[in-house]
Amino acid sequence: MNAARLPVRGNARTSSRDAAWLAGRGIFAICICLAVVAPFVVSGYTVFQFTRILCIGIAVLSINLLLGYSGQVSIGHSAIFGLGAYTTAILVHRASVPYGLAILAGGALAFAAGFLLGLPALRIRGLYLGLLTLGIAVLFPTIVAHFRGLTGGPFGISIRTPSAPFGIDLGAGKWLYFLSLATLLVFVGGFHGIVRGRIGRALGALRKSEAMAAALGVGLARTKTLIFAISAGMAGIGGGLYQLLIGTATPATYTLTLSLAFLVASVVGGLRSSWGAIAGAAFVVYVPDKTASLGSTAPQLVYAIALAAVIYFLPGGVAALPPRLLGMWRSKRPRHALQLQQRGGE
Amino acid sequence: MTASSFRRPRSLALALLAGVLVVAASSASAATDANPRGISKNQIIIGGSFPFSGPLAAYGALSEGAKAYFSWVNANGGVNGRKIKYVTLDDGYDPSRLASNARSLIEQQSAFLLLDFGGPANAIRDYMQQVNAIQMNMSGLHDEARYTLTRSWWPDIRWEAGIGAAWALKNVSSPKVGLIALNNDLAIDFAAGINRGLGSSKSLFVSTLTVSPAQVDVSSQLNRLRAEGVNTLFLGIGGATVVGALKYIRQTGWKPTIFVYSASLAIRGILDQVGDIENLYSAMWLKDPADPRWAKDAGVNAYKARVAKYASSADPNNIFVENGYAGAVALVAVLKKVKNPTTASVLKAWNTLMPTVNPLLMPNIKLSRGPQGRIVHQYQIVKFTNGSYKPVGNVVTIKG
Amino acid sequence: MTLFFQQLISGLAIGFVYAGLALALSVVYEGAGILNFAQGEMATVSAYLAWVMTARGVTFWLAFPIVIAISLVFGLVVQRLFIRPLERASEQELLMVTLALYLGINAIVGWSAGYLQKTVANPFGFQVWIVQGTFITSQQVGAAAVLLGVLLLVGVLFQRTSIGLRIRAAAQNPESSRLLGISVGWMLALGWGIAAAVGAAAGMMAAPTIGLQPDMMGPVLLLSFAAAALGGFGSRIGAVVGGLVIGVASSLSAQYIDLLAGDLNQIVPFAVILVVLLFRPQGLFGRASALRV
Repeated sequence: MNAARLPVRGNARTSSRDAAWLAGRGIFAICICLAVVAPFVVSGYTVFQFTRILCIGIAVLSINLLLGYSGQVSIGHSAIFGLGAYTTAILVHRASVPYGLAILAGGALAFAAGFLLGLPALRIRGLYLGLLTLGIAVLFPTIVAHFRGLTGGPFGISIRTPSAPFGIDLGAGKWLYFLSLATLLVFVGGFHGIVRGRIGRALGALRKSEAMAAALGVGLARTKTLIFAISAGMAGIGGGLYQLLIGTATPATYTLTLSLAFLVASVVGGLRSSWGAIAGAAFVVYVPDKTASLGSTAPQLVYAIALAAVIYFLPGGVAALPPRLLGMWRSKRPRHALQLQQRGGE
Repeated sequence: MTASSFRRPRSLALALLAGVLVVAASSASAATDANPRGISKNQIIIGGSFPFSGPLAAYGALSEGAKAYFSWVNANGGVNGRKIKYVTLDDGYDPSRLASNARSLIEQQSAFLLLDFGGPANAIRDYMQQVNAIQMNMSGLHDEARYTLTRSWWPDIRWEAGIGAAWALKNVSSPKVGLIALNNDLAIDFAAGINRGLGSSKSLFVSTLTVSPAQVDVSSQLNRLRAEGVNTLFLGIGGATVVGALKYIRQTGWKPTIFVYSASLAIRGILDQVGDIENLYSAMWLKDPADPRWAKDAGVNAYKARVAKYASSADPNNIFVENGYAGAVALVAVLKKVKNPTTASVLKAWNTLMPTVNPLLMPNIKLSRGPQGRIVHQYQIVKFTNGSYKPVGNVVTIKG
Repeated sequence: MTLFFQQLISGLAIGFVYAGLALALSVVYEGAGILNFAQGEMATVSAYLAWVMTARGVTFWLAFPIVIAISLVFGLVVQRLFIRPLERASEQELLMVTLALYLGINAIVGWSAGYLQKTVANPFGFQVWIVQGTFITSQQVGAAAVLLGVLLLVGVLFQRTSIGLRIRAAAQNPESSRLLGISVGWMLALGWGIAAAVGAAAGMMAAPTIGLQPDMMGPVLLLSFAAAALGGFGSRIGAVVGGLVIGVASSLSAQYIDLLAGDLNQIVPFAVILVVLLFRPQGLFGRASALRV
């Protein structure tokens, strides 16, 4: 996963890291193999659930980029996810646009929306951004329900899950699964590219101290806005895929609750990890199913407990668990890398 | 890179091993059936997805009522010898969770048909068509023509609004109609129904205000309608908001003729908070279990006894428990007409249902086939007086 | 003009509820530097507590001070248990903790009380006064008077009493306060306790109007956030004024701006937040210096 680092390793101390890196790579390969084989051996329902995890995983990954690396909180990603979904649904349903193009259009629109949202975010602290995005999350269902002519109002707007192109012999469910998987992998690659690249370094400086980063000439405004826009674009495309999966977009799907689920997934999975995003998505998809028998409020209680448990006892989320358990890296890494977030403004 | 290619065979082997394990695990759960899904000689599986949590969790009570009746049926011989296995999941009123639940209930639990509630059910109609399974929505959906496998328990909201408007046209002197409704299908259908009920006097319908479910206080909307001279007020808002609205109306001494959406009206939890309010009407089809009028009613008392026995955590005076119970009675009545249930035969039995007595419906109201595939299409206008609903006029029947 | 006053009264009546919760938010903000997402749910717990007591025959006016006292302890305990261990944590972590509290408390209330709305008596009866054609109900006047009393009491507590001064000192300058021998940890916890008590008053006063059910304070919390932003976070007087302005703005816009008369009325508080953010980020009463970059 981090091939760029390999050639510079020379001294004896890194040999254990190489082993860890290789183990990581091996696990990654296994996961890919499993992910490719899985839809052929599990039931249609399980493929559906897996696809949900992938789509929600894309949204959670976009939150990780935003919250984990630029320290900006968005409680409005349900709306951005919904924007991608609705754009896709409307273009396919009303204008017969091919769905691939419609999803990209949804992503572009979400990117633009994220850019606009990121603009006031420049002037304001995290708290205000939280409020602003909270407002977006709350208003989105109302606005969508209001403009019925375009959105179908409360009844929503339906499209069919597309079947595979070029005569590929795959059911619609499996095809969408692979499409989502490929998209997620591309985004994971992009995520690592951003985090390790120039923007990532700028973000690192920014996270430690905005004032210092500004003094060092990091384009604070540009970087923050750009990250917000990229994050939104990702979430928008995730929403478009989700729309293909669910089939019907209704205002009640894209509510504040969904945003909270994204945040729970992000923190529980691990804010600064790409596979943590997928683990977090799996958590929020499966917890409601698996805990419902304990009582109707059990899933929400589990969310709350998991969220608190991660913050108090497992900084870095589930993603930090394997290295902790194996005792690898842990002693050699600076502690703050495992923490949720450095305190800003000090 | 040399190091990684050295390790790769092992990871591949691991992947294959894991793959084999997954195959082994999943083949165990693969379903094989010759009968229609969910039907066997002595069992019929019914799935249910309801909001047991979240802001609309109050409607989860529908499922508790249904469950109580299914349990009673099972204890008394079942449906033509088949016991009902009722499996429920929580959707929190979230369409995407309902979409997942529907697949789980149909594909994993092999449910023969599905009960669900409210607007999110729109999101699974296409899926239900694909898997050829009946969807019984415990509230009311549209488009039965297009979605041939979707059937609604509650009657069409437009009928109810239309009956209220037609009644007001006759009985309120120089009526001026105003509506406050939730910004979902309620507002759209209520307005359409009122317009239909007013017929050529549409101009009397002066104002519609839609509110979002997050609007906790509608007093400024009420002030506005009052100032516009509205004297016939339709309320299509949620139960919690109805309480606040009626209290405010009562306190400010405004005395319009009020029609409240029947599904937001109950003695328990709503009217018992408001106290005496004048000119409060509704078009109802179900007996309110908390109404002292039915204290000696055999049907209502049998229902209460069964709920106490089979769903002890449910409040029998909660009208939603009763509503779900009555829906289950209707469903079982339909299922009993079919010797060998298939989607087609059950649907046919539903669509051709001859007048059937349901002990929880208002007097003189029967279930039978009706327009839009609805089996409830009769109403009794009632006026709320002294803690009880007093019938006004005769039963009104909707003709399709 | 009568109608204008009628809508003004409606807006003020609900505005006092927003003001109460916004004041609670601002007291917590002053100490912890965060918005407490669980503030509304804590108030819901208090409202249920009052219901439990009155349902067992305790008169409302005896239950009211008891619930206030219990809520104060509850807020204090929440701070000691959940917030204090994260003293050095970031804003985001604290935010997540209050989100966890929000989800957890809401689930526990729903689990223990059920989702069917509970019957709450109007503590102020059903009288109405008509002043120049404007209707003012006893519930509106009574709730507003009680909340105004609580708000004034909190103001006096913070401005005029030594304990209030110590809480403020602990919140604003913990290091110096520690040197002066102030028990900073307990003072901050007390701040949370007072916030919970104020929220409890708002919850108990709102319950008869908005209905007692587990999610009752969710929408109120959103509007209180807007109120706190408008007033300037951490400004107590600002929070109260903000709450009243948000209440009145929602009510008047529903009357006079047709586009905002219906469901889009929900936009009003968030439009207020946006305008404040763009033009006066420190809020109406906040000090610009309080803005850390």
